[in-house]
Amino acid sequence: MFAPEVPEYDLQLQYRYPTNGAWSEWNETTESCGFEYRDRAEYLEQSICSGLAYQVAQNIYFENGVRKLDRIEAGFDYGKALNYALKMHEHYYSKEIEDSLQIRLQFVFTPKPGAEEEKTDYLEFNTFIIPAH
Amino acid sequence: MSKIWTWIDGLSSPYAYKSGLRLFTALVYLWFVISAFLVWDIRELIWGPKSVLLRFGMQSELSVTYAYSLMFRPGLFPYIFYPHVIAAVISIFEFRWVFIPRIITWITGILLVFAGFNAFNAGFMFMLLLAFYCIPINTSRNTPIQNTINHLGAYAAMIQIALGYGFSALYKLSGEMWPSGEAVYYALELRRFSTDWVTHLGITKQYWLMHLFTWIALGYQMLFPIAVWFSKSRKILIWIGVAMHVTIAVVMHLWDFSLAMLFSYAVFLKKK
Repeated sequence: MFAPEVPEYDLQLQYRYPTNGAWSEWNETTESCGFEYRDRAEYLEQSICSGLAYQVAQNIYFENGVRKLDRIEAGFDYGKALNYALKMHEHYYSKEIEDSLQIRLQFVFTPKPGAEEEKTDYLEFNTFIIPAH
Repeated sequence: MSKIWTWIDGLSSPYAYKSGLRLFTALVYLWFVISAFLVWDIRELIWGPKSVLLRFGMQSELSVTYAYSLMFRPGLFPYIFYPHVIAAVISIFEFRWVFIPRIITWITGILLVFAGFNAFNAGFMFMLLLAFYCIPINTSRNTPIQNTINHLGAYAAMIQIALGYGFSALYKLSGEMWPSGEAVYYALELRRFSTDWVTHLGITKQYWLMHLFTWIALGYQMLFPIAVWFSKSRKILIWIGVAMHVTIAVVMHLWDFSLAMLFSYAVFLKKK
């Protein structure tokens, strides 16, 4: 967990979905589904986020100055994160997300020792179209 | 050479520190009960048919990939989780056939951890290893074969714990944050491992203290595999370990991992 390096950022998985013809607000996946931050369910999210963040570090690339996420989105960790958001929503709201879904990772970077300011950044993935049943 | 033969002969005599070994085996299985309790409210989310963890649509033969069978067949959940908890409770006690519930605890534990990998940390795997060594241990029986098994089980667990610390230290030394002394600072600054009173007191801003804690933790893990075999240093080592893991549990909310390490220390108790 803390070896060989400790993460220098806090992670949150957030998701949004189309509702009444517009995107919903970004939701904190676990907390918006009825759990507290210290609940064990958050541990699941953190573990999934760590896997996805590792894939980001390994597989993000740029082509003609454009950020490419296709290698990450073809991977298992991205699928896990999508599935987690979908199933948590379904579990809590007793309603499926029907059309499409978008997830993003929120990075809150820990200030270097001696520095004060936290920096927050987001990595938005492409919209995932949910296949018809 | 004669010392080795004396040691081998001694294996079949009763284990000298029965109470310590008895406590250790009880705590190992108690840990699985506690672990199940910690995820009780989300057990269906982890393992049930509506699990929030992604299952891949592979077919599997039970005999080939039994470790993943719960992952492939979430419908098995109630037949694995509840027997696991019941078997772990029974395994705490000692009786002639206790190895049977202990085998059940171990097998079902493997199924649960592989299907719910994201719900656990290294503590679960570590306890599964110790639970494996504990299967045949029974301090209530006094036969040469049972005594030998008790000795070997206890030594295997001790070596496992020592190796766990040693390799953890080596892995940490391969990075930059631990040798530089910044690891504890970054760990405590993470929201999921931080506590309000630690943040409010500004403890993480005392960088010298953060460096000190990092190096103490690293030094402890480096020393443990060697110093634990000497009676003079063992006692000090165990007390430092208790303080360290209680702090990790309270401050960083890693109760399952900390309890796993604390419970494992019982095997080093030299109590008759």
